[in-house]
Amino acid sequence: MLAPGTEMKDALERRGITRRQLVKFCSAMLGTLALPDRFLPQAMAAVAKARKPVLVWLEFQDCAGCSESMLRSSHPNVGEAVLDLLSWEYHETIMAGAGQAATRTLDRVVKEEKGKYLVVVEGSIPTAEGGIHCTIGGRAAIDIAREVCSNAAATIAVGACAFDGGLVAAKPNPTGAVGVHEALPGIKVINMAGCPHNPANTAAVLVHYLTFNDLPAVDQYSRPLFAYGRIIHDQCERRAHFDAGRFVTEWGDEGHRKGWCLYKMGCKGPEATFNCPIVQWNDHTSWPIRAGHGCIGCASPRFWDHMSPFYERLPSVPGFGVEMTATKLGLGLVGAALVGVTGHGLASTLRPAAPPAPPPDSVRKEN
Amino acid sequence: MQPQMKPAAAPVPPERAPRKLAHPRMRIGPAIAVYVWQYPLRLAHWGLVLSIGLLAFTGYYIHNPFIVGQTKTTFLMGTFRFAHEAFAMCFIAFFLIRIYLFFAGDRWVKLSAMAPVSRARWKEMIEVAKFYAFIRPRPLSKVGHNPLAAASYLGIYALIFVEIVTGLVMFNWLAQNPVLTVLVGWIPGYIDIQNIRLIHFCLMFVFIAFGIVHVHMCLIVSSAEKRGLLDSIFTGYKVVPVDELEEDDRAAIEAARDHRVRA
Ligand code: HEM
Ligand code: HEM
Ligand code: SF4
Repeated sequence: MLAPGTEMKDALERRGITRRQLVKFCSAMLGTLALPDRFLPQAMAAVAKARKPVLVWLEFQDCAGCSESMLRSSHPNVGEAVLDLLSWEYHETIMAGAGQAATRTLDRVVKEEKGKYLVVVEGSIPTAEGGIHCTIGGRAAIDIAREVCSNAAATIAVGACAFDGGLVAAKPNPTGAVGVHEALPGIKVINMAGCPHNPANTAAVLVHYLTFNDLPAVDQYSRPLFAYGRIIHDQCERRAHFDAGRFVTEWGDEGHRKGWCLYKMGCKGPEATFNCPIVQWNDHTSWPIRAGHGCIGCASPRFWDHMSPFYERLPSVPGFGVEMTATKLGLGLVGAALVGVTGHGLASTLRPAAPPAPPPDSVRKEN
Repeated sequence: MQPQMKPAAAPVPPERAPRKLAHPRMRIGPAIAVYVWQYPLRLAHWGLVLSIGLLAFTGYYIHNPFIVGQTKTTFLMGTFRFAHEAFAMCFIAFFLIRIYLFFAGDRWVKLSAMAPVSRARWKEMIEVAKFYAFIRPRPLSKVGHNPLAAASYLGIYALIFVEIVTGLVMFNWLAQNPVLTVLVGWIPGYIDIQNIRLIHFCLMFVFIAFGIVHVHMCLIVSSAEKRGLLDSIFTGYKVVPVDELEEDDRAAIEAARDHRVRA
């Protein structure tokens, strides 16, 4: 890795990345950010001149999948440029240093780069029993996060776990896991929700930061609008089949082979917001619905709890066990009503005729 | 004055010994037809009934598209969704008419006349329940709704409100209308969109079950009372014995008495 402070243009040239490739990268990033062409010179200038800001990448209760996703983006434009865009001083999964040496690096960044460095957080932060469920070098995750994030210029929470606790916080959430936003209220966080985050989006946020020195506009969950502002269903390539009424009803059936809509297989595209269909994964190769699997809404809040069962249209009715679907319960209710009125009706035919009406004047008294 | 106030006994023939009749009759005494349900109320009732039926059909298709498009040019789901949303707008309009009547309608359909707020009304609700449970021989008859029915109608209107709100949340999820966003956009932050859908779906069955029980109850009461209760939701008129007219309905009472005295 190159020393912090090196000008980006030199760094890229040394890596053999041409201007042409840089233009391509910046255009792709602008496209992801939904910014018009006229920002290209500005973005180019910003990226080329960037004095590599320092970045630290913290991992707490995670699976390292978001790191993997970032590193495995084989696209030379995104992957290498992102790695070179910033000076990655600390990243547990990929750094060479270990033990005391690693901890010292982190301390140095927090002290020397105070207020200037960026933090990426991956993984949830446990709060149960004083946060002992995740400690690094003897320190609780929440302490590390508080110190590192509160001294940073900005915090980027990547993945569902750092966003709102993700899988770790799914019911019954034994470790009391929460996302960065909830663990550290008042700290400037941008949430790159998703399981995993889409590295193209995260790179776009970094470019936005370098170009405008600010984070992009966000929604009510602090997720950038450019990536989380639209519903999957509205951008889906199978949408025409949805509107036409052509649905897959069984895995591998004729409809599935023909690429029909996965709505009946529990696709959560109509609920979920993300830019999967546009940006896609693995260098724009594919995305879940193109691959034939319904969306599970992985970028939505508390998706493990709210979007499951993943292969049903609706959640199970709480309090009635997993097997009880709303349809069964509803039909049971209607059936009970039918049986009830039939029984009551039959019983009413046996009701003895009402005694002759009392003389009119006493009627009101009786009632 | 005096003879006018106490004439009731005269025209009513004395009770005869019961006699087998080919066509049974039930005397309800001197009575008068009262216009209890103004046409906006009946419009709202039948509008709601019709739109619930159509919304339940189209909504169920949206939940579980049981017809599969076969031709190249089908637009099935699109059509069902359009129909659902269009009927939903009518449904909201009928509901708003009814809400207006809660405050500006006739005395029997006002909110104050239907809410179970006084102790006396709770006692009457128990009396109504006793009739349904075969403890009481005669239903408790009222000029307007009986108190138990009135309370259940308020309950169903509350659920209709919930159905409309959850429907609008789903509608706005796709439409992203600025006005609706202000009105209902904050809700999914507290109740997840999937649970909104679940509530919306489950309430459909509640409306169907309510409809079944409601029609049954109307039939039972109507046939026991023989005052045209079932008829009333079509014509607006209910037959009410003169002595049960509200005290302050002087004009009607006097008119009825005049009529009897002259007869
Ligand atoms: C008695 C009244 C209603 C009934 C029985 C009803 C029933 C349903 C059902 C069963 C669904 C499918 C739920 C699912 O499984 O996803 C649905 C969806 C929906 N309903 Fe209703 N609904 C009613 C009123 C309304 C109202 C007043 C609105 C207001 C706008 C509304 C708007 C919607 C919308 C937007 C959807 C989602 C459509 C989609 O997924 O594209 N509904 N309704
Ligand atoms: C799902 C279907 C239905 C719903 C939700 C429903 C709802 C209601 C409501 C809320 C009222 C009170 C009116 C008010 O003051 O606002 C009412 C009254 C009435 N409805 Fe329905 N209704 C349904 C179907 C029917 C049907 C099919 C019939 C006739 C066969 C019917 C007959 C009546 C009658 C006779 C009344 C007056 C009853 C009374 O005074 O207690 N309803 N209905
Ligand atoms: S596959 Fe999913 S997202 Fe695509 S159209 Fe069907 S329901 Fe919508």
